[in-house]
Amino acid sequence: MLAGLALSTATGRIEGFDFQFSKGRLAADEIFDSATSPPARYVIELARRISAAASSADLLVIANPLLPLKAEQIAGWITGSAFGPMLLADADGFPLLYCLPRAAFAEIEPFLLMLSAVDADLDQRLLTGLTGLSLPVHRLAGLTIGEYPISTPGGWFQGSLRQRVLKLTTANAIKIVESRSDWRNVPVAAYHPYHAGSIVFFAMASRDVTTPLVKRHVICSSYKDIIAGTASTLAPIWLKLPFLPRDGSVGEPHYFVHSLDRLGEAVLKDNFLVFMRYSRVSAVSPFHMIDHDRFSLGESLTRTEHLRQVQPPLVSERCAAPAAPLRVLFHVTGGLPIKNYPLDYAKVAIRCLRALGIQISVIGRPDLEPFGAVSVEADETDSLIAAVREHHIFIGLDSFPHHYVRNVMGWPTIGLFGTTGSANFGGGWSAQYRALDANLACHPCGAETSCPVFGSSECINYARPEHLVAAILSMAEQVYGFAVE
Amino acid sequence: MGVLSDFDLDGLIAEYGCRYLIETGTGIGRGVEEAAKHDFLQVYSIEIMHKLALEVALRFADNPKVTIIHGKSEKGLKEAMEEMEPGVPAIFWLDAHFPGADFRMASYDSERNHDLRLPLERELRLLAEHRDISRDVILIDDLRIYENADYEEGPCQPAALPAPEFRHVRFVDEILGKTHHIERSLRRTGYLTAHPLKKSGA
Repeated sequence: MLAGLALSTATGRIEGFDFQFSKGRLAADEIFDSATSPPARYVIELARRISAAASSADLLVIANPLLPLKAEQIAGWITGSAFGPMLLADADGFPLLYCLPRAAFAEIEPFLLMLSAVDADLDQRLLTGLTGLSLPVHRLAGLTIGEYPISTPGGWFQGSLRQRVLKLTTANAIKIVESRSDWRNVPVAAYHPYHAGSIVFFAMASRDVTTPLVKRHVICSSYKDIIAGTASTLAPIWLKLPFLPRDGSVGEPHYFVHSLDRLGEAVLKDNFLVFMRYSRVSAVSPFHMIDHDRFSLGESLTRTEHLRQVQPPLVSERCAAPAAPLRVLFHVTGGLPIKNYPLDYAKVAIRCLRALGIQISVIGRPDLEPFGAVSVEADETDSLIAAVREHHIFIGLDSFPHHYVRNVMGWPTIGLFGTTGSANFGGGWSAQYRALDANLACHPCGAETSCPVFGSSECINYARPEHLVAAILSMAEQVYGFAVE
Repeated sequence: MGVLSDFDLDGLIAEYGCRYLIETGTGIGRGVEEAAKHDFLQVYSIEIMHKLALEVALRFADNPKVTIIHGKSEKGLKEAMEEMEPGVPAIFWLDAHFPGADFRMASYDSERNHDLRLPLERELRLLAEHRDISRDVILIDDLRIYENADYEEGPCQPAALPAPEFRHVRFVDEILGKTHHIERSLRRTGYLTAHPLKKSGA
């Protein structure tokens, strides 16, 4: 799937390398699987890995990461032709291989992010501008890739409209390189403008990258408060548009084109824009989204100990109030019924905890007050922070409050997961964090409207109330020394 | 509902030096369309209903002089005021009631929270707190929610009326009475307008 060659022009030696997307081990022949990385990010990673393994090579051939290519196959295409920098494409111009001097990959690394990986002519023009080399595009007359599929079993979902997005960012990069002699000083800006939870992950990832390819972040201006709280290291470029709705009523490529209009010529002239929204189904990858984003931003993540999940959290705080009375804050409304913690589960958990003398608050749910909870308003980041600080433990769904409280505040948190993957959006089990789900065969289904199995509006993958209560008591004991009298 | 074209925007720009227009309640963008025709440095429009905000924002995405802010009016007003050049007069075009009701996305009485349903008083206090509004023009729509009179489009639906103790505009006099000339109009659903007593540069 991910392949390349190292060539030595002096000796004629060709060395092949095959990699696969990691399913969790991050073995030597695996590459981190990141849903927010554009295809070009894997071109960079392949070049890094092959370059490190073949230090005597002077040319690297990197296969298009969108295509299921093997080193043996691409070696067959290369053998017989004169070695030299070039691009190989199919009969219609879909790029198959990028062949550049080994040193060039390192010299222009951040700018390689703007390769489209779907249009050889555009990529050739960009690479020519970046390297100053004469780069012919050779076409394999007998091979036609055809239209790239909308979706694949591996989770790619580039589709034709997304290919246009990639081409637009490449075209913008070409304009910069061809019109500005100082293009090397032009920063790379990640286009990742929404949604709130994703912004938390991206911002926290930026604090955790040693080799950043990206300096700026295009982000909806309604998230200013989130960026202020997360201490992102990326300079924001505010996109003055309401965020993309999640109901599919506006397509992401359509929104992207309007974003370019909104950002205006000045921003496009002064920034290499790279599309870093989700390009793959995140649940296919076993890793946490912060690590997905760290990879996108430039971290290679070649060993499991590099993963954020297995390291101490960047932020860790706790409530300063005495352990008793224990106060727990719930957020059980996910915006869509299928994302809500089931009502009956919530009622039972609240009643049980109240019976144990534990004080319960629930964000925005007056209907749960008859069962012993107090409904509190926390619909802005400031009010959320204030509410959390008054409680020992936060219980949240796979949504912004949970991600902010856990990752930015570092507060003792229990994450409840129904339709989405706890490994991707929660991850881990420690004194201050638990991710709970029922781990049913259907999980994670990713449904956003109703249960795809039963058609119901509630998800039965959520942890049962007894498991939730047990987790709360366990965390309260571990973190605060709380014991039920 | 009122319309911005009922007002002589060019005249207000010329007479009071207003260079910004800030609207609460974007709706389907009629106010933005009207404002965009005039010589403002920037038009800000604030809409709490995401669907409405996005539709209009995408329509005006290529017009750098128009900014649609999605969110509660107070948050949007603060965001707009942070960007506006201090001391440059503005026109504030304020919707008096819960947004969405004019566009069949909510009923006039659908919001139980009084503060959210009738944000006008908090909006005016916020403006007075965050900037010198003595040179700003304030245009308020739907006066019939607050006062009975013989309005062109008739009285307010009873269900949309606030509790009697909240049905007044005394706060407008309190906030603007010393710096503005306040007038009532019976056109459409009623307007309350506040023009500065001192003009720009005076």
